[in-house]
Amino acid sequence: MTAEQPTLSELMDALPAGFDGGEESVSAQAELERLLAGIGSRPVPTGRLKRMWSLGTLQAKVAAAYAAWWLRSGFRDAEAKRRGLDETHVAAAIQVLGRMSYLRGAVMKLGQIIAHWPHVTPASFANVLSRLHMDAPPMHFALLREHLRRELGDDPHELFDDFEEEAFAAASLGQVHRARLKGTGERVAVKVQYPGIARTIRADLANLKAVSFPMRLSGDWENMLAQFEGIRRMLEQEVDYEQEAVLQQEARRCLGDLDEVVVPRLIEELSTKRVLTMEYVDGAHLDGFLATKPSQELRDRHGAQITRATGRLWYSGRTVYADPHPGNFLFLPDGRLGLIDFGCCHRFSEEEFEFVQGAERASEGDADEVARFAARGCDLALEDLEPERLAMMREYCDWVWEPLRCEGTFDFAKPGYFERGVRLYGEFTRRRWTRSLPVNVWLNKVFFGERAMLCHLGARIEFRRILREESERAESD
Amino acid sequence: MRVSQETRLRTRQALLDAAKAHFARDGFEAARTREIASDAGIAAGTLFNYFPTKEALGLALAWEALAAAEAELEGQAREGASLEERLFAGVAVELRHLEPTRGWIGELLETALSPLRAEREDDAGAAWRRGHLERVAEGLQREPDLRERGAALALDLHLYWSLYLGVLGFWTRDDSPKQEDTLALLDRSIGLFCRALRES
Repeated sequence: MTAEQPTLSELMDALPAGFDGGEESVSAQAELERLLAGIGSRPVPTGRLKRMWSLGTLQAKVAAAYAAWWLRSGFRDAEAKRRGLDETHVAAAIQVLGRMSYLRGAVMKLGQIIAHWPHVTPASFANVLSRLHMDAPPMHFALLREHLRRELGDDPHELFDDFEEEAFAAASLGQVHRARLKGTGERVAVKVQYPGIARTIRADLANLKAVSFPMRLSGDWENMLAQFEGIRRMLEQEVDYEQEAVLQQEARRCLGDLDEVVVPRLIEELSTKRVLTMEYVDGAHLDGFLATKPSQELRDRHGAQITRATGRLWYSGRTVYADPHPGNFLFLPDGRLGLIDFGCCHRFSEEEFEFVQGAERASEGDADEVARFAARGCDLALEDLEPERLAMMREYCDWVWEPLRCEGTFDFAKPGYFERGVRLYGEFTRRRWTRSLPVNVWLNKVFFGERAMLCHLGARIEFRRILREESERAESD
Repeated sequence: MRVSQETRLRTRQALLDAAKAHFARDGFEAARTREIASDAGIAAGTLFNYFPTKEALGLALAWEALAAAEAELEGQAREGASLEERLFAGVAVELRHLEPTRGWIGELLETALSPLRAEREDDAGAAWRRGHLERVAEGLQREPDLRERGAALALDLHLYWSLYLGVLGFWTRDDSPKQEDTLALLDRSIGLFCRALRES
């Protein structure tokens, strides 16, 4: 497959309207700061029409430009071209950042997902987008206070001791405050969702369905609806803290005997659909951990913990931990791992678990078994699977299974590994080979998310051994 | 027989309590002053010695809530709070205290607070507007970069009042869980107002 590269003028033509791409010198950092300062006062348009316009602009222009660049091209080291494109990328990222923070909802979540994929995203673009993890504008205390009064029944200073009025962490859907429980003085984290955000997400999803309407004429419409339904459930789950609380407690039970993994205890009486109060776990996120220049041994240890924990949830809990991005992991000073966000987990149905078990058998099987599995994954009969598409499915499965087939340690940071997966996945999208079992929405999210995490960590892990142990442990229970 | 001041106050409160129950149950329009008076233990016509109109009775209930909100705001004032935060709190606390009236106050506010209505000296709606805007004006005066608004202040307050009425109207019809959409709208409206002031 020959990778096409858009010319600079084609890329710039595809950028958002109003962007003049360098006729005047733009101080990217200053522009970013200005945008961030203005974000808090911008209204979030929950009206459907406005959200439709914003989504359309983003998908039609920026996504097309960058998807083409990221997914089709290699990273050629033409210095002048790279410099020019870097400036273009940063300026475009600023515009994307402005729109995504402006929307402050599901689209911001998408930006977070893309932002931490390593290597593939141009470094400068990723740096700007990665700020979405922590720099979303906070709710001021007056808003927080009223919101908490409605949710928990009283002023936060009456419900807690030492409630910190400034958030110490932000999420794309809310923010987190530290406090102490009355009586015990136990340190807790109180996650508060921005009011009305759930409705914003529902409006987004209704719009997404509407823009997909033209596809009704294709045979894939029913499958598209099924996948869309999976995405809708995923996003609605993320704004339902009651559901997250249930998943967190189940995960805590499931991972209870893993000494190296900490899942915070939930404080049920101070949790609602929009507020989650839990034991405070003190640790660093990925950036902070990597800044300490950890040893390879420690990186590998944490990588193994991530694999063990997600594997335990997968096999014993029959649950996919589907949002494994840096904000959800804490690296504790004593070398343990904290898992702190359960807003995006999916419980396998019997049929879905049977499918993933089929995947593992196919990973060890012959070419015919892989072909049958690939067809099932595409929700197609084998005879309806085009040869070219089957060939690409084999390649993709090989990419997913490569760490699983590797005896000994697998280096997730090995050059080219992650990019290959994204290129393949992007090709499926480009060719509109998107028909797939709905469960793959979750599986692909975890494949890329977890591998991105392990790649950033630079972890070398006995992936196959750990997952085999977890699988056997689940079977013997 | 002259009625003592104490009796008058007790009767007034009894009328307010009865009105609160009737308005909540029947809505403002459908509630009958005769029945309110009866529950308060007085003759129908006597009610109008205390409140000249049913509207005045309804607004008096709102006024009680606003007075309680005012007291809470004074006790709650946060050192170093931004203008956005102070203005937000000023409305949010009011709405919380007005919550028992939310089912029926909309009908009343439509006329009582309408900017198209001619102001009268004894107008309870005008008193509400004056009191609220005085607080907002004080808040603006505390901001170093907004102190010297001069003639522009009157326009600022008109703009604010439009946003405030919009939020109030939205709140009366807000069927989102715990009226969280009103909080979001209020947050954005106040943000918009403060940004407009700073950029003008």
